[in-house]
Amino acid sequence: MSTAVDTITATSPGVPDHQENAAAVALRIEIDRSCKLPVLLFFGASVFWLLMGSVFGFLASWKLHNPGFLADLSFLSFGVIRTAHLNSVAYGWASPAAIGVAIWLMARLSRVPLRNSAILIVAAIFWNIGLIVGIGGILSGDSMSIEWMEMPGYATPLLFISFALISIWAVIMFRYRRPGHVYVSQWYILAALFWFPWLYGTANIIMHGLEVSGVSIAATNWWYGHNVLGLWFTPIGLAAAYYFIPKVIGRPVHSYYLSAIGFWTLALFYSWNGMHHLIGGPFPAWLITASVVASFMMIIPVVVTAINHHMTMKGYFHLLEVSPTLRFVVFGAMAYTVVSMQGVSMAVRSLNQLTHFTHYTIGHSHLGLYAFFTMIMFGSMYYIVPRLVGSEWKSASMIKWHFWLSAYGILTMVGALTVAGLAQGGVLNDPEIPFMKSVEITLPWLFSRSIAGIVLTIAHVIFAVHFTMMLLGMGRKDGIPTYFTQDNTTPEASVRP
Amino acid sequence: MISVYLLIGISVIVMGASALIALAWAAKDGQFKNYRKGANSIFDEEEPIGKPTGPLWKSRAEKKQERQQLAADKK
Repeated sequence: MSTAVDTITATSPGVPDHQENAAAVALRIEIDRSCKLPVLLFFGASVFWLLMGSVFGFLASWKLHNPGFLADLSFLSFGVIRTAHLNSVAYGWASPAAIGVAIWLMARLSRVPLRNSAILIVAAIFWNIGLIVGIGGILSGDSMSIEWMEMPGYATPLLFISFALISIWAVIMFRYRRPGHVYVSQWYILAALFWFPWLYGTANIIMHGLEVSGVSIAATNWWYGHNVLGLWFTPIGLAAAYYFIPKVIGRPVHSYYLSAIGFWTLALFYSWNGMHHLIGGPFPAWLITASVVASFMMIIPVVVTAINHHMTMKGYFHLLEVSPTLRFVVFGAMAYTVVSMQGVSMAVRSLNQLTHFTHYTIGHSHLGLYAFFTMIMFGSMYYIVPRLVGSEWKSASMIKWHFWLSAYGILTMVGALTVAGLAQGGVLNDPEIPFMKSVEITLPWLFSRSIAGIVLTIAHVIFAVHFTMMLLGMGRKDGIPTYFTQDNTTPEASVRP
Repeated sequence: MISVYLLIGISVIVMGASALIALAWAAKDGQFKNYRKGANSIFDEEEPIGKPTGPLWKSRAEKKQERQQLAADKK
């Protein structure tokens, strides 16, 4: 028993009544059991698409500094494979992982076992058929060439149906929740499950139904593209952080008041942000200005969340050493602050002039979708999966390798792309220098990006193997039972052998 | 073109309105009344405040302590 854990248990309000205890444990076990199939279905699919996305990403990245690589195969040309990478990581990995985490959190926070799980299973099947059709369509040349919305029109309805089903399920769960407080994570999840189908439906109707052209495509594109990050991935990532950080360290969130402010300001400001992608474009000036202002307003929810998470963690940072969930989630929460403040700065017109159309933006999006969102999803899975399959992760060193390779890989990648982008932007803005120079100057940085991508792929393979071992029942069942078993009342039980 | 602006306009207005309705419901329902209770709502009798639920392996300090204990026991 470490002194660290001793200090924490010393603040405990005392040993609770045994009977109440048993009821709480029984309910928790029942909730976890009810979630098992749908959540593991979404997680399994997400891990598969993560591996696919890593391979696509590597091919695309390698082609940037080595254009002759596999150049004879049309379905592997840069424009195709880069699009396949984006769609498989955004809709194949990140979204199903988010849905899995959202399902589990909704059941936990509503304090009732999962209802109507058939809806979720049907949704998972639809989602994956939609992905296979959509990414297959992209690989065969049917891409829409609109960033984030490249999937052909015959695939998007499948994804929409799937998502609508999940949203309906969420409303049912919320309706039948146990009376009591609605925790901030639930607010985020409900909002995300309400916003995303809306965004997806509206944007696809405009693109495929109304046959728009020119400036309206750009407007719809970035209204959608930016909101996917801000109103879908961000709320789920924050919902997970707001649950797992306090839960893992055993201390309530520092200021619940701030968490409420953070949520409502995000809800009010974010949907205006997208047009800052069009700074300098042929676009109504007031829309871009309004968007720049809204981007600056985002400082409020970001700073509020950063302060809140930091103050919650204060004095508990030593637990990062022993908890995989906490490591990944705290890394993600820190990256959230960095990526958001960087995003705000990129809405400044003068900086945007330098970074627009360069690798700087790609670095920014990887910082957001990987360092923030993906890391939080990994952390959440490290917490959720053992509770679903009933055994603990087999190997501590596999988890540590996964963490350090991911962290090192993503920081290298973002660093390389940021430097490449700044250099590229500087050269592009100088009319004296020939255009080719702006390409050549990025080459060493693009090569290091590819190496970082390989490191990330190794991390993903380690995680996928570990995850599969858990599914096959090869987890650790010996030693002191973990938190999902009956006898878990002693403080000692919270420390693993 | 007009239909696009209409659709986006309606979307922005309806999204904003739904957020306001949700805010009004939350206020009426008393969600903003007791912040301390809200923050504590994820803990219960079995996983109370003060009990970390995350640690998966022993820290270096713990391992060292154990080694010392073992050595002491052998003596």
